[in-house]
Amino acid sequence: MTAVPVLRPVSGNEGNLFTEELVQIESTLRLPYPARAEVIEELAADLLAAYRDERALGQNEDAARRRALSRLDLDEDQRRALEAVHASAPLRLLDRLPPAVRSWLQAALSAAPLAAMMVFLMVEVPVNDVLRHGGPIVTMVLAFGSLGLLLEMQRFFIWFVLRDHSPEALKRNNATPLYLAAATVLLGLLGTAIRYYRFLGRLPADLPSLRLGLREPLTSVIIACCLAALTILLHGALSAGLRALRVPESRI
Amino acid sequence: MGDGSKARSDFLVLLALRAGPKHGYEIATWLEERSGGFFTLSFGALYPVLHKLEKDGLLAAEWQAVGEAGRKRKKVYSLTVRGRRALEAERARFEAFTGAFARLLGASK
Repeated sequence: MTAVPVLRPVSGNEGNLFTEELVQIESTLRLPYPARAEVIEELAADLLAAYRDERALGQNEDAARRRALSRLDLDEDQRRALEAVHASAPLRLLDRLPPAVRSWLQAALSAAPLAAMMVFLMVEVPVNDVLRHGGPIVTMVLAFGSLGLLLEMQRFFIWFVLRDHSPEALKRNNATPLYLAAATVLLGLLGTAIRYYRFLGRLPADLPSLRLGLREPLTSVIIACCLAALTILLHGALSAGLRALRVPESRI
Repeated sequence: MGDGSKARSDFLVLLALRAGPKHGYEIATWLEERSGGFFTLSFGALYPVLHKLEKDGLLAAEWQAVGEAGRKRKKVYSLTVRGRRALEAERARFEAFTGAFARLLGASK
């Protein structure tokens, strides 16, 4: 006897039936975006079609949902196969290397633009003069500024050249470069203010009011920059420390 | 899938699409029904094959709106000219293979 499909109404909320499973897959699949979002969208449509077929065959909502999910079966091998299809050419090349070589090469490639910029500056700008005139604080400005830029270049390389959007790679999306940039600006201001303060102290003693009038306003800038730069750097370091302890990003 | 290699999965998918464009679930059910339940492809097994064939230019994919609101979309695959050629070549190869195998089985009786 041929079974006659029984058409049953499906609930209006069926679009959310597989949200939990899809969110879990989305968060663990190591595919680059937008491919990852498209796989999830494709999967959602296929699961819904399977669910509707099961409902049309007379299954209740729970059974239909279970049976639709049984068609999913995305094991580790299949994930890897899917990832291999969507991996970018540079990432595929890097994946062939031993982990130590890979991380070294990755760091070198992402630092290359910064190194090129430094070489350009050294050729075009008398860097030694800048360092000598600026004093020790310029060295700190250079160090923090370069580090912030290097971190952003690493992100660009990983997210847009390698197209690595794995959870580990996306965890790099933190505020550290912004802390470094803010600290760099403040250190720059601090250096300028200190230099002016010292210079004005050396003005001839017969100009006392001019000397004091120009020097005194700088003290607030000096103190503010000192404290703010330290606070920003400490804040960034503490946040990085919490991330190192694997405290969830949402709670930091 | 009951028994299959990568090449066989590619062939099955191309075969399913010969009859016309389908989305993933339709391909899986078409194969299951036409093979009497012998070939069952999970979505996990199907997607890498579909995406690889699409990347290689054997399949074309198109997103189609689902439902009245049109907020959801399904990805519908169809054979390209290259895909059709690849299917015919694979088909000839499989027919030669199964023919030879059938003769061997017959001879061993």
